[in-house]
Amino acid sequence: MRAGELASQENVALVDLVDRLLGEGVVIAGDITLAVANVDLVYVGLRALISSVATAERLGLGVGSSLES
Amino acid sequence: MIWAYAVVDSERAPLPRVRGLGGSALEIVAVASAGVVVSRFEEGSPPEWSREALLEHEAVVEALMASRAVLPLRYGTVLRDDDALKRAMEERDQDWCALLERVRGRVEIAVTVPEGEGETSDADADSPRDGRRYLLEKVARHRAAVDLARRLDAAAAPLAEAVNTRVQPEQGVALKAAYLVRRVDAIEVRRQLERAGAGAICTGPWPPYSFTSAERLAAVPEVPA
Repeated sequence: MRAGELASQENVALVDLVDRLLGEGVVIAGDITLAVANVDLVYVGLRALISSVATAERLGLGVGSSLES
Repeated sequence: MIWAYAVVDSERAPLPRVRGLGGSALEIVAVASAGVVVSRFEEGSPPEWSREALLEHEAVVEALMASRAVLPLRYGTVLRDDDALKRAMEERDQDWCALLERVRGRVEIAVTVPEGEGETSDADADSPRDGRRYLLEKVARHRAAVDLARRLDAAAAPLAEAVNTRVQPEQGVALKAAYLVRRVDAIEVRRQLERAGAGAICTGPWPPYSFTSAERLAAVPEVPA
């Protein structure tokens, strides 16, 4: 696999992670969700950040891959 | 203050050795015939929104999934105390046990197909882009994305138990889909999806983020006639 393809796969994995953490999952009512008003800003910010940061693997956290071994 | 990660079955399997946000300890709070995995923080010191925090949160959910059924909670679910957590869980009035049984041993495979791949187009990059041509291309792109969604569903249908597809969810993306599959089938489903959709990028296995409600779990991929 070419380096460019690998980088794009890593970016997709991080976008998929952010989409899932901030856009899916169980929402329980109550005094929940930290700074709800800022979620959209955080979401956009994190997605923008994704293209400029090192890979998740460098932090020792294999995003979405821990079950493949 | 409580940071909640996921709803889990209440059986007393030991929690994984992984640490929570900011190195915090994990605990399980029994609630509504299930359990919620949490960590506790001093009042006024909420974990910040950061990439590291997202990855730490995800690491907890993935570690939990290795040993038990898991329904991930939305990132950023914070409650004042155990009572507030129990109240919030009961107010949702979900059959948590039934949902947990549905996702036990299941994972989610994600597919992203960038626009302009896996479809035929006779568009010439140098040709003038008048309004009519623009609209025709837009219709063609949408039709191609819908066709692609059908092809991916057909490829996944023998093994996938539920699907959540978004056609043209954002600029430059033909479709995003998530398939719920048995963990043992994850690699095979990825292979089938990548074969069916030219340019399809698969990620996962993920915890079942997209399948945490009865409605989502009821959406079954179409088996071709």
